[in-house]
Amino acid sequence: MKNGKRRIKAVLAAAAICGLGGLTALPGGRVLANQQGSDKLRADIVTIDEMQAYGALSQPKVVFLHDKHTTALGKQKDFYKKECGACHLSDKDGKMQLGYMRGDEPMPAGKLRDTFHENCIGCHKDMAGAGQKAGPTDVQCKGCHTATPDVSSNRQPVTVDKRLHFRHAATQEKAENKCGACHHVFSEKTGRTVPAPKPEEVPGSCSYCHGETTTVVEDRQPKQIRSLRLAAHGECVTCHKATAAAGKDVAAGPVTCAGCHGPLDQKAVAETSMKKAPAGADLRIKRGQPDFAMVRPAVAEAAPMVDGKPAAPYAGMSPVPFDHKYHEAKNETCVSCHHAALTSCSARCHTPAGAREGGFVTLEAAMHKVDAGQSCAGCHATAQKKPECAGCHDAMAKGATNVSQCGSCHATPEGDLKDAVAAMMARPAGKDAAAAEAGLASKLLAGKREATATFPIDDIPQTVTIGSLAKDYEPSVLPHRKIVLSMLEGLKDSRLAGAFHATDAALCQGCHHNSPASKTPPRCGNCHPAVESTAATPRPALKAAYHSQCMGCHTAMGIDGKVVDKAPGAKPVPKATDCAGCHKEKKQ
Amino acid sequence: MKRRHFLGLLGAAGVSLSTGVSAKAASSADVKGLPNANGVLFDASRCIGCRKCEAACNQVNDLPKPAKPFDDLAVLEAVRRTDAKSYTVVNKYTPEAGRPPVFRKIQCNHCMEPACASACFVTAFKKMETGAVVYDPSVCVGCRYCMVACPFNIPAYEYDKALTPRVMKCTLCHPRILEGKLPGCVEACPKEALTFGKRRELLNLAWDRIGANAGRYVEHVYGEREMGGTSWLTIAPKPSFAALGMDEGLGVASAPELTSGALAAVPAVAGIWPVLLTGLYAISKRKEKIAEAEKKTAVDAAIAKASADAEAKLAEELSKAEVANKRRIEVEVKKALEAAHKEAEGGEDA
Repeated sequence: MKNGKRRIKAVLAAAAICGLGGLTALPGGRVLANQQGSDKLRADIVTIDEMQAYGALSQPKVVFLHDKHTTALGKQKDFYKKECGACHLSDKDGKMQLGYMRGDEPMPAGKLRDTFHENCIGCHKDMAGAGQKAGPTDVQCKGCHTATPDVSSNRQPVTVDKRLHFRHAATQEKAENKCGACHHVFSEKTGRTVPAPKPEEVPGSCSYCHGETTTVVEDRQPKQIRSLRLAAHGECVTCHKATAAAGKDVAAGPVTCAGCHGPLDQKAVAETSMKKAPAGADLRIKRGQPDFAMVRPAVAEAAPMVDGKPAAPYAGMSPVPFDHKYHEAKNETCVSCHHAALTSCSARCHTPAGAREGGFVTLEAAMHKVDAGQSCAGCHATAQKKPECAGCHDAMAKGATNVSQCGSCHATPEGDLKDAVAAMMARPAGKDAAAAEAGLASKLLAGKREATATFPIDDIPQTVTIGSLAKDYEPSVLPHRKIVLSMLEGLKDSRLAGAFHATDAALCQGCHHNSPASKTPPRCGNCHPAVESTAATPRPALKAAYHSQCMGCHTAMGIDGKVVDKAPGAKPVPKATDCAGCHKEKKQ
Repeated sequence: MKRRHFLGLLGAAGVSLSTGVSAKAASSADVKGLPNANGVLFDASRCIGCRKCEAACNQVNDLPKPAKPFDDLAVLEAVRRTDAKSYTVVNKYTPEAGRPPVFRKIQCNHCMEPACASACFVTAFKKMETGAVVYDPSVCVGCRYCMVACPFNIPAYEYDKALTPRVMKCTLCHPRILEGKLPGCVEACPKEALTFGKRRELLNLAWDRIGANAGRYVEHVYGEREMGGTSWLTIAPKPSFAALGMDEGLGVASAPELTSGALAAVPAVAGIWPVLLTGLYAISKRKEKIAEAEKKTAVDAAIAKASADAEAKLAEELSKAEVANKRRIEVEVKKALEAAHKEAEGGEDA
């Protein structure tokens, strides 16, 4: 064609310019969606993707804003006469179904798609016809099936912590079912789920049975165990709505998505909980649990054969006495430790040898795994990350690695307690033994320290002059007593610290490490060589040992450059690069 | 040139390359020829950015004093590189906003198979037994191929010296190591972020440290295998080495290994090819020339023969024709004679 080359060039240039313009517009939308506090960050996003079960989706998933619809419809009384029933059908028992305009009977793909299309678009058309602002009514799919929605989710999971539980339980104190209002059990007799009759029979957290997805158990009524999401919404929201409908002055819980899941709303709920739980109220979730317990394998081990006879008395790892009441007070829910059930850990799942049901995690691993929040050692290791602990513990090995520390938990019984422990270990664990074991545990815990203590003040040197390497700098005068006392101050409220810092010398070992515990620990220079050698060793030379220990603690506690000393006019802790802060420069 | 001829030349050239000796470059992290190589382990989680290592290096190597003193920590706000007056610099990086910064010391990594030594055609760089890659200014020609070759961009050049510029880079304090002393930077570091020792022992130490502090370090020792392994090793706290400005895409092949294949072909290309290809060309050209000459003689001979033949034939035909002519004349004469004789005879009868 005529001028073909020139025309093609012009078209390409135009296309390139348009393309560039389009590309620059892309990030703009995403940025909008992430702005906090704007309409774009929402907790009510429901992604409609049920058609996935039938094969690959031919359209992008629909982003449905639940609160937006309930709010908008709430203002249109004619369209919201049945309230939730406008979209959610009820089954023959009057229970609201959580699917849109359908029960949970299986249906073919086409029928499901039509259910959505006809009802959604139909309602939009009706509202538009009535002159109201409505959602997409056009036949174009993109009105709802948009691949790049300009909203993003800030939905937070809901935790029913002790305070929230207290508030809920208080509403049911005078009710007939009490715990059974929310907690139910599967009754073998009737073959149905029934409200839990007594606190002792409450199976525990909803999450123990209701998991991520709906499961089906064949010979059970009802067959389906709803997913936690469906169960929680089906029970919580409907109850809140019913309570609100019952009377004008009755306080009821949220019924909107954001009311439970929005971060700002959750903060408000937490604040209300603080006010509503009277000071000194017993927030303990009562289920008849013991105050003390012995942590031990559920099944009595057969005694090993020694010299042809079973070894007697009990010859094995001492069981662990456990202050259950104190630990309850330190955790928000039971699930922090009882992560799958409230029954014994070691009966079926975490047996000493490991079992399939427990994921082959042995009892020892379950109690000592450092990276698991529900294990003893794991939770304690997390507590050691607090600034007041991290100064020493950041540099130390995590978890139960030091075999001389086993006795901190595995208390060695003395005197007649020895026989009691032996007798206990010979029997399997069980409800009938629980009371006796509780008494035994409280006796074994009797001597434990409540708070960290160390040597008398006069035995703690006030200052220590560190000058063996002084060359370019004057010897450093370390305010030794001040440091020890400030560490004690930071630990005074921690019973965990008190229990594990079982001796007076334990606190000293934070700095005076890798040596026998003593009131007069060895000099650093006894082990750390004064001159760095040309052979690579893990043990640093003396200069680096001093600097790593001091600077490491300051960094881990986050006090580098900050004023920690409470005395007036106190100087800040010297930064790592502030040499003169710790030792003055020598005048040449 | 005919196509067949050209292809034949190509084939000959290729075959000649395969007969050459190929250069082998080792690619393992432990180069067998240097069992006692020393190295330095840098632990980025220990460095506090005090710049004492820079000061010590400056003092030990008699380098000129910089514009800003070494205790000026404000220079860390900008990212610097090694230059003609600084064998080493410390840079500050902030991998995660809100968390404390991480510092890294930059200097020559003293590769096990240095790219600079491989690129230098006057052997100004040598990998010594001590592990140091040492520079000899007396043979350097100032081409700066080493600066192009170094994957870490370390060698710097004294551009402002007109008559005796040198390439400037860390020497691992090779003279001090020979005296049994530590490199200047290692000795000065207050936190022992720098550890000197045998490379193998440093690797063990690095991995022990990573294992003992689960979750603190990136589970990789930088320099263990990068560019064939370096004497200078680095371990860093999470998230990554890239967050400290370190190139994570260098691969494990040393620079000599990457170029040895092509370089091994150079003698063949420079030496054999001219002779071989010229020879082949000359031979085939000569063959053509001879063929031309032979053709010419053949053609000439053919022409000569043809003309000789033609002439012979002509002569033959001519003589034949003459004979035939003569005969005809004779026959005519005979006929005439007979006719006359007959007439004479008949006259008599009347």
